[in-house]
Amino acid sequence: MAHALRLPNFGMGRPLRREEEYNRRQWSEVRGLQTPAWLKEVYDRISALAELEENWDSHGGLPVASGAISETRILLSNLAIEELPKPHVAPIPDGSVGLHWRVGGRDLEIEIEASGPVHYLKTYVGCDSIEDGDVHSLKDAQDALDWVLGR
Amino acid sequence: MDQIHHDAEDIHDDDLLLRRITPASHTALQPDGARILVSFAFRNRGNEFSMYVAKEVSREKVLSCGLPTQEIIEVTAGEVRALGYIIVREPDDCDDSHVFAKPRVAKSKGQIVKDCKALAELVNARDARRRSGRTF
Repeated sequence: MAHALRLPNFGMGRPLRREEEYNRRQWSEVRGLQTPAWLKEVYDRISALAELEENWDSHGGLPVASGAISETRILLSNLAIEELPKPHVAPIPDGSVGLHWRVGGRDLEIEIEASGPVHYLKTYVGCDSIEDGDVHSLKDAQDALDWVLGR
Repeated sequence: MDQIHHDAEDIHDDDLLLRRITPASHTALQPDGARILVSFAFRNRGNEFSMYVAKEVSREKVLSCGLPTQEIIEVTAGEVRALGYIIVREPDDCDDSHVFAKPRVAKSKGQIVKDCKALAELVNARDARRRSGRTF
């Protein structure tokens, strides 16, 4: 987990120099103009997580970290999500953000930690098959989303 | 020094354990209108999760210690133990029936997340059987 993705250094083999970091924040890859109808609703839901106070779950859950919220928005804005159904957005008691999709018998949970690491959990529903892993790059995240669509 | 915890022998494998969840966060609405539990429902801040022993407390009492929109989900002690946890009594401000499920041996965060998913899927499978009228 120590080597998990730290946004926005997607796919980089070395740490970004300061000017490169600046440039990557200024420019991003050009993508299609189509966005899913649910995107604004999901962004609003992600932003609303910031309002949760400590013990929001009655089990001592921590407030969602602002870093996790911003990293989740960055992640979604950098992935091809047009064909995905609306994700379920959830706070996680350690201050992370969770995203969940279930398409047919495939179930995907993605966890975005406040400090940057991103993890996935793939489940074949009804088969006792659960696979976890770290997301090290945008491609890893896209692969996970493609998996839930059966690609 | 680390405290030594003991699996509560008086909590049998078929005893139900109750956990409060927040439906808006812990259940996902499906296209058919069903709500399914996500693994986050069993996550706590640490490597353990909090529950109450159903035979010793009412659901109403457990809910009264939570937040207004919360609901109760059930798993059996045996299901939790089968994943490598012990059931440790730890009375809290709400009720003496409070327990923590703690890993029998140290587990990574990744393994605990998988265990939470496995428990959520057990609950989902039971709910699906209930909705379809099957009891097996």
